[in-house]
Amino acid sequence: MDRAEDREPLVEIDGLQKLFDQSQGVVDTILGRDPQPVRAVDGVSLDIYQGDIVGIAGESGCGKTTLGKMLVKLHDPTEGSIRFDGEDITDMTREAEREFRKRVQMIFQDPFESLNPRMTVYDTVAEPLKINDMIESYDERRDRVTEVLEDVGLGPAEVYLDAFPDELSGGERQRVAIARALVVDPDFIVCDEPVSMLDVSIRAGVLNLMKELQSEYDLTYLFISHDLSLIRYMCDRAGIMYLGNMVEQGPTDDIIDDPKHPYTEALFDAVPDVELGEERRRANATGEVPSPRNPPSGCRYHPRCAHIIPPDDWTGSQDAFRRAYQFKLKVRRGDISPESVDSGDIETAEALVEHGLTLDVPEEYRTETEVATGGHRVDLSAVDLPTDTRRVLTEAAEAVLAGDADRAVSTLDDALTTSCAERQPEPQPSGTREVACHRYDDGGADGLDGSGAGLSAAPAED
Amino acid sequence: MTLLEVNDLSIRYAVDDGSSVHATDDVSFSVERGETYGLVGESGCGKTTLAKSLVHLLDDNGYVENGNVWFDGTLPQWSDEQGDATQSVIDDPDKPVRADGKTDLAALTNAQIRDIRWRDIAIIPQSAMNALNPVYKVGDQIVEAILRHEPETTADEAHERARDLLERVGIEPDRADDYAHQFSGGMKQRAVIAMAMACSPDLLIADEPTTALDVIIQDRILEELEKLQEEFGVSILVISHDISVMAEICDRMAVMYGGKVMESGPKDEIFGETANPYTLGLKNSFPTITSADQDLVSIPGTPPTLRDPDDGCRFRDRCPFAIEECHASHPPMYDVEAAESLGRSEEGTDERAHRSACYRIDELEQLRTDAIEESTWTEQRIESR
Repeated sequence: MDRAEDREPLVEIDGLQKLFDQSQGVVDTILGRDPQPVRAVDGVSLDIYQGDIVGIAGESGCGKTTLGKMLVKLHDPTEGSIRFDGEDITDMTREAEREFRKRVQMIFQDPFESLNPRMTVYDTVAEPLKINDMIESYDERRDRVTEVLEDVGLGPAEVYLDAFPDELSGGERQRVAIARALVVDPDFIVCDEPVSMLDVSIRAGVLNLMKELQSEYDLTYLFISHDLSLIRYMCDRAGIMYLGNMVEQGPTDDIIDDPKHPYTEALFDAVPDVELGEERRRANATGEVPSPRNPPSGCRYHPRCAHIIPPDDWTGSQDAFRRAYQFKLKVRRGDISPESVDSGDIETAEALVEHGLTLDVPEEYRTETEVATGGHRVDLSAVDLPTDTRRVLTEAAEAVLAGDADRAVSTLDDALTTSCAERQPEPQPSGTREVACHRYDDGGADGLDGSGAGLSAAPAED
Repeated sequence: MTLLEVNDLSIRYAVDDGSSVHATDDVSFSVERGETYGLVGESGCGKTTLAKSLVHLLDDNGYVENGNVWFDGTLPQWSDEQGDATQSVIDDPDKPVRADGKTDLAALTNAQIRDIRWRDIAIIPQSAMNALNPVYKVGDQIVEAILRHEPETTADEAHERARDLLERVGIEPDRADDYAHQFSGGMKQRAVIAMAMACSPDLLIADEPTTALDVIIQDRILEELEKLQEEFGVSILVISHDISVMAEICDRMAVMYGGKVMESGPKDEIFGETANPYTLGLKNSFPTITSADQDLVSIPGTPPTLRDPDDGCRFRDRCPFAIEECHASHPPMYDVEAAESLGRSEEGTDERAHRSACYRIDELEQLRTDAIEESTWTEQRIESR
């Protein structure tokens, strides 16, 4: 999948940002609080080349739909620019915008919601032509609609023209939605989860249709989906998003076969697969996606990351650092309290440390003691912690036991630092793709050296 | 040991004009103790209806037309100390308990089934994310279930157990005093699972247990279900449209289409030695993450409406292999092994074995070869409207 340098990108996205809900409530104003917007898309850069199918994948709330909507001007970006065919779409004259709307279309997720139930198929598909003043005469318009309907596999079109959406099946409705996007003969289509509401046996038909139409109409697609196997099937290039950031982008096959970003790796490990069956590794990530209203500092993935980078002077193992860092996060969140452990234990501070060092990960990444205790306790001897850190953790645990959570947090904050939390990683070229991860900071060199655990290697345990 | 034995279960939904929707038709399957059984199919194939009917949770217009649901367990008042049905109950012709002590759940009254639900069979509903009551503490909701079904438990014991259950599914026990909105999506799902396990049921019905979840969380929940099964030996009846999830967690499964079971048997055989045209088509149509180059082929046409369907095979309109016979009656379940080794159609009587409902089972090799060809599916003419 070579990226032809001589081709001009059709869409250039640079430093795109979208914040929602920047207004303040009355209470917040009175109390003088700063507004806390939802950072839906935060600093995304991406080039889309003519004739490509570019996939955007990520979990719910990662900003992929917001990104798509900005590209068709359904949302205006807060910061950053989008250039379509060389022209900045955030700052267009009315005339230019009319032209732009003919060239860019969108297909929405749910064909049961996106079609007006009181409009016939003809009305629905002809509407863009009317709005854009494209074809004046009724007969020509009808001919054009008929042609497009047959192109999307709804033939003979006469049967469908006067049908209402409720007479159509899900697959047929989505084809109508595709026809509505195609009727103006656009150059670029944003498809937001176009088949997620369709049954499996119907899906393939719609996907294949979209591929056929791509060559027939010379289209460029942005294909948004949470389903990674669909991305693999459809897309030449893919971008993986996490909490508003683009963490990795490049040729789809490269990303899937050899994920570089730890989040991408976890995401692909989590996909069940008929072929792999029981040999599949589970995703090595702790916890869940944090709120985009108050995202973590630095790399947004660092609190869940399996490959978090220890400081240069760290003498223990990377796994030990990850555990110690999780301990710090738990104390900060207030997840660790004296009640977390049985008071029957002889030395409670140590028991608290042993509890706090556990990782909330699938069983295959846990130590023996963790498995035996259901993730409640880890044997200190199994964690390669430097003596200093061990002392600090015990101190913090004692502070927690004394009810002084603030002191515990500050003790840990001083002792456990990582570049992942301090600086936001910039996308770095690495081979065929760009990765936003500090492990690739040195010009794409193998950033795994320092951590001692390879992405493709076995779990970082033992 | 068979825990649940569903025989020829037909469920109908009454429609105002006097017709009825045949949501499931003569469905038979059985679930062993400690196994995970999957019901897979597209929307509208009757899988959720089937699961709900087992514990009488159908909508008002739904009813069981015929069939039995034999469950290895019985009402508290009918059982002895070991929980088995007493001899006098078995001998009583008015009580739906047969000689081996199994009770026909379909014949119980709504008042009686309440003693079975949760205590013997617990259900994890489809939208488990919304299944928690927002105005009660999560822990209290679990306590309520325990006290209803085990009235001899004291409130303190029940609270202790609720915290213990939450801890077992990976939630800090202190969170029992939180409300549902303070939980993340994955935690709500875990809490609902903990709640379902509150009275140590023998059977857990999980309806689309991970559908609303993101993949990393889905991954953890699937692991959680596996662990619970190991620990408690509970049987799980899981319902999903997601074939890859099914492939991961099920021991055996049934593929449903239009209210009928099309193919059933051990998971590996269904995926490895697929024997039904519908399953073959389904396998062609979903992408996998592992293979770089694949051509997906969809099954042409759309699923049938199930309002007063005719007698023919439910899949025949979309099936490229349909023959005269298929229009006359829906095929019985044939034994796949006999067809493969002996090349003949023999009705399969063993519910655990690999069976397929297709008249052309004796030409299995040919069907498999043809089904891989895209032209097989695309060249048939379908009158969809």
